[in-house]
Amino acid sequence: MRKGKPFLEVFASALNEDYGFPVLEFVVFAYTVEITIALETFGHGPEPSGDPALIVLLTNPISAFMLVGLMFGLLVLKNIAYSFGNDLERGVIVSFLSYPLRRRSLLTAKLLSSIGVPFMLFASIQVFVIFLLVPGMVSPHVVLLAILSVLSYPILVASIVLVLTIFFKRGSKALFVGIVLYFASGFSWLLLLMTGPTGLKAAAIIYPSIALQLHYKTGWDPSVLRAWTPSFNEALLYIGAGYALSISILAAAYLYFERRLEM
Amino acid sequence: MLVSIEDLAKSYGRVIAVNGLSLEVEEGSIMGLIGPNGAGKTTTIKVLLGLLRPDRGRVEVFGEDPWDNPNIRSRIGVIYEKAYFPPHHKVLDYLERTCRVFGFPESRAGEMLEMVGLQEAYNRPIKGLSAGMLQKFAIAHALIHKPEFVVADEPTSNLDPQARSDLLDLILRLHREEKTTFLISSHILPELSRVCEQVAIINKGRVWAQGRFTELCERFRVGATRVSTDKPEALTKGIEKLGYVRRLEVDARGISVDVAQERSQQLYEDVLELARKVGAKIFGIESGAASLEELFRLAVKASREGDA
Repeated sequence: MRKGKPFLEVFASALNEDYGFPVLEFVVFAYTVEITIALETFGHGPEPSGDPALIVLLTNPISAFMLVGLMFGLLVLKNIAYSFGNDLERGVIVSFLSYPLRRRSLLTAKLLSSIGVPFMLFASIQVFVIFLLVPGMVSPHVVLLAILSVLSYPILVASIVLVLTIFFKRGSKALFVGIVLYFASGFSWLLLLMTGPTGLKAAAIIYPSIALQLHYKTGWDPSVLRAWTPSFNEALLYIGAGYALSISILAAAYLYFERRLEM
Repeated sequence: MLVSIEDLAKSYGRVIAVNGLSLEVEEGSIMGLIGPNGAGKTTTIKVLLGLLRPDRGRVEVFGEDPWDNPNIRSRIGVIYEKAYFPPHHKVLDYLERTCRVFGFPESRAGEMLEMVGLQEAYNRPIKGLSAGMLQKFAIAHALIHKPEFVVADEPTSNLDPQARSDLLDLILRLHREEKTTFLISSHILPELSRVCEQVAIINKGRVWAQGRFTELCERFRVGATRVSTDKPEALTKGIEKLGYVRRLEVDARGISVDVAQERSQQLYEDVLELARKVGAKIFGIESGAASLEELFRLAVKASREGDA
């Protein structure tokens, strides 16, 4: 029997469909420019402690990193909804299922394109470019953590959207619900924050950037800081917990999708 | 047997699509799958392609369970009634990709496009193809990896008459030269009768008859003589009394009379004699050529009577 490369070809095909218009490249470029401008605006030169520019970036609600998370979220939701939902709706997935490839490999290839590729780009290119453009201003590992802390939540919502696609079998419907869920959960955090330390910690598991921001103690109401100021290690733990939660839900969604994928 | 299905059952919620269906497809044969809408043809095809998981029953293709089985997919080509492909890919690019998937040289993509007459559309995006062109593209896609078994669900839908004829010729050529096995589901029975040696008739989720076309025609007594007259009622009474008549039906087109082949000449003479006696005009007597439509109609009727 001839040996082909079905996994790589499905992955390449998914990349072609997910990024027909160079959205990803455009987004990465725009945010790199934005972060660079932000860093240039907020200060020059290495600070002995505190990295004030970084603190501004981490804590200001309209900071570039928060927006990176938002844009990553929207991109990933769009990819999942269209790559899976539209393929189910239009029956395109049937043509992939005629390839000599297990369902699990098919889903993995499409998930890599939908989530893996943007995650790697957002996480690595931004750090690389910031470090390249503004050397010495910020600690690369802290920037990496800051970016990582905002990327786990979109993965969690994307996992829920993945399950929704198999229910609705319509990409646009799944995307709409996903976007509503993404923003509605922002309001639920506010409610959680008001319930005191327990709510704060619960919100920090879902959105670990909160823990990192509280660790740097700026941009927050003093009453919140009195309620809970995590150590750096605690912040790390919350980032890890956030990813553990997101990846667990993604794995569950993946298995559920694989089992329910009947055309 | 290349395909062996035993006691297959599949439901969608409360709707029973297939219930107790058994079917066998011999290696090297061309089998037609016929049945009314909602009979369970497409569900059966989807189960044997591994797209649906059966609720009950045993399904084997090439001796293996088709569910999530990549081994057998390299050996199967599929032409769907509605062909869908990633819309933004270009025609040639996508077929070249399919060649790489199955380990064939990319040059085969161009050859296949020429074979189905799509050489003009090499650089078009798939979403820019018309329905007929998309069906031709689906045929090229299904055959690109030289499958041993081709499953076609309404393969001629959207094709113009010339393209339909070309596809049927291609099926016969592949069957003759490559010994390719075909399972073809279609509503266009004259087309099926042109290529199929064997037929399976599905109704209400079960196979009601399966076998060689000639055997089934004999079994369901297909090939009745049709008598057109101005006084069908009067003539029918006389024909009923002929001892060698096996079956008789009256409809808007006239009287259908089923007799053994060797009695055809006698029937012709007796009908003319009866017509003279009752004063009926005879507009025509057609000796019955067995048609798939007739077989289908009689088999479905028999299945309904059996069901009742």
